[in-house]
Amino acid sequence: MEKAAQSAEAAAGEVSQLLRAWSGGDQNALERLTPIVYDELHRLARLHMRRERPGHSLQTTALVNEAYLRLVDYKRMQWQDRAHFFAVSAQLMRRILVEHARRHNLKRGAGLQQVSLDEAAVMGGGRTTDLAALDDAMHALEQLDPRKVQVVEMRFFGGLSVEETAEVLKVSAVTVMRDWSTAKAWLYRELAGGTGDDFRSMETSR
Amino acid sequence: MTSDRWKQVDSLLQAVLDRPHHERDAFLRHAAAGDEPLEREVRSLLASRQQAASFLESPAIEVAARAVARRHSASKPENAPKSSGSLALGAKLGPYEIVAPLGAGGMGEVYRARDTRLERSVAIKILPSAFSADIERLYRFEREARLASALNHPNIVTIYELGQDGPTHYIAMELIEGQTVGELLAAGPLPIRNAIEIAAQVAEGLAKAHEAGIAHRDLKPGNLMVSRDGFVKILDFGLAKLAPPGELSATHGLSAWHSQPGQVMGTLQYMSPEQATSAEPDFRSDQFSFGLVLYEMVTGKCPFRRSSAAETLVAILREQPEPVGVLKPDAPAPLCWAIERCLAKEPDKRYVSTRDLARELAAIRDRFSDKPDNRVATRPSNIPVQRTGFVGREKEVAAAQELLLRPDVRLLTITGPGGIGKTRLAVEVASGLIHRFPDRFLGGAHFVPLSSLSDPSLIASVIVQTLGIREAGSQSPLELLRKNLQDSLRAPMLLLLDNFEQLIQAAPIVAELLAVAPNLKILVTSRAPLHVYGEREFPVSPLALPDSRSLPPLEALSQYPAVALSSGPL
Repeated sequence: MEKAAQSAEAAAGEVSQLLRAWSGGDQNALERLTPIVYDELHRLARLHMRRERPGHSLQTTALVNEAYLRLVDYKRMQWQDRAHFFAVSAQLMRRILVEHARRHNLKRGAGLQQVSLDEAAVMGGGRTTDLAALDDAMHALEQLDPRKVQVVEMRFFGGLSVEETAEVLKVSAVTVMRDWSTAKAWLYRELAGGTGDDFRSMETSR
Repeated sequence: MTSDRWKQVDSLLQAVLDRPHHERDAFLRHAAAGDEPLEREVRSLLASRQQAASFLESPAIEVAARAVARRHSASKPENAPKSSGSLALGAKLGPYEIVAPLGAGGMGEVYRARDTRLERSVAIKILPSAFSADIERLYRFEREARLASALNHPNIVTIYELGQDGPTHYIAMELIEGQTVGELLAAGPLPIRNAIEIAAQVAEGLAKAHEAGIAHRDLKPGNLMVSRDGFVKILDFGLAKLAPPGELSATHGLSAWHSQPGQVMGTLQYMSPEQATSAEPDFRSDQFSFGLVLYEMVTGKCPFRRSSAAETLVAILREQPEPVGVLKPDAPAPLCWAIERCLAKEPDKRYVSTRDLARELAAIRDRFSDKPDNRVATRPSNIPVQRTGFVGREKEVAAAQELLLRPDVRLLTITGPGGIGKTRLAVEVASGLIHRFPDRFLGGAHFVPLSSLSDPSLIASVIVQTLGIREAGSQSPLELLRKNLQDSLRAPMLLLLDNFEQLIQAAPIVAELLAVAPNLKILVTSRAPLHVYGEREFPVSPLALPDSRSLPPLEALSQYPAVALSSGPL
């Protein structure tokens, strides 16, 4: 029986409270937030199981947006709150989803979920990427360019639009677009097993 | 790499991307200025940038959900969704206990069920697996169904829940004890009064939904439920969106229809032309389907029902249904007009807003139910209704009417100087004769205002429009009109061509129309006669006016006919 929509609707206000608490350092809040995100995750997963057609590309943006909206009631927020909550909820999603992936990788044995580069590239085609590996790559990129990682966090984990991301980071939409595309290229190469070897070897030779 | 070095890479990459495609290579080589590792790094990123075009473009929760789904499927190889076969009585579906089957439609089986939490009866609709397989559609449907339900309108069924039990998706909704319009129609056409009542309620619900931006897209008799206490409820808002792609569009769906005759066919014959051509249908598509349902309620006939899907589609796109007034002569004319308008092939010719349609039907219902016998008095014409009493020309009206009714008089031209009241006189003449031209579809009395026209060649097209003759192919309006009058004018018709004077050159057209249609009479107002064969001229003289130099007291003024005419009670 699925009551996720109703319970999540009721919980939207509660989620805002929990997010506020979490961003204030309350780790208990995270524990209470996790099952709410899992509910949405499994709700989407269940629907996915019904349509496992190879080559079928899902245009899921709208419905995923709805999932995010159910999690955080943006509409009820003050404008000043908005940017903050976008940022916090994106962090939250990254944290919870990556955690979920890591736990699963452990259970299954690392490497089982490794996905070839081509597959990762055609995610729309039904292949998945390893969120844990992506998270590692994001940590690496963070050393070089923290803002690009933030953009990825907002866009990919937070499901935010370019404009919303620009609002949170207080940069222009053009900057967000540039960061996004460069970060994607960098992370893609990193996950693919590093065509950037040349560059690294260059580094060591310097 | 240091972040300084990275900044160098990043800004060079951006600079390269700012160049037009064909200049990038040369620019990079130049800008890297021999720093080969830098150049290689930028090239490498440029390459993976292209490969990564779709990378990370699905949100993370979606990616995670897909991973979960795949793991789940892998661990359960028998995961194929079970076919939504019939549920046994007493079967459980979430908190619902199946009590009895209520019927099956193209959109799924329906059961009466008991909500074990709230101890109330509900209707449960099981979605066919083909319809629930696409999550995006499912979500959109869910959204739309909730929106429609949230309108909380008495003519829209309330949805309690969209649920899932294992692979089975279902909708729990308000249980309505009664019959669908489809079931009612099985016994033939409905009594007109019932048809109007149902139509008025459906239009209310539709108008409300359309105002909220929700279209139904699959309106048909099976989706309209008439409760025992007389409420009509529209079912299945948004459900059409769940249909697998192509199922509802002519281009892809034909084979599907052939494979499931009866099921989807039921929907097909209530489709609008724009749905049939897979053009983007909007709320006006619902108006068309509504018009078809109303047509069927009144006449008992579904005008586009054919033996094959292809023929049905062709009929929807090309054929004009037989006028309601012909099949059902006692149908009130305004109802016939409303149906006709809903059934216009072009959406632009239907109602601009469904609210207008609802208002019109409400007015028809009010008139019809208050004074059931008033229908006879319904004006089967567009002759303007005169609100002021007509004074001073009673004798002329009677004389003109008498002339016009004479079998040998086919064309009567009321002539006289401008502003003398020719139009008013002609309207009065025609109004008094409407009962002589009772059948609006085959004949009738029609007012054709020509004052705004200056091009004589347009007269045929104006008449075509007034008569509501539909254009077909490449025929000129005159050919169309001639053919139409020839073929279908079996009942007497009166045309009132008002203000003909600037179109005198079109006089031969008038003569031609009279020649092809023996049942046609034409009443003309014009400053000058048309001078065509058989014309009878009816000159009008000014009404007697009080002498302006010796004005009588005000109370005496109204005794003069011309004053009473222009200042009479509204």
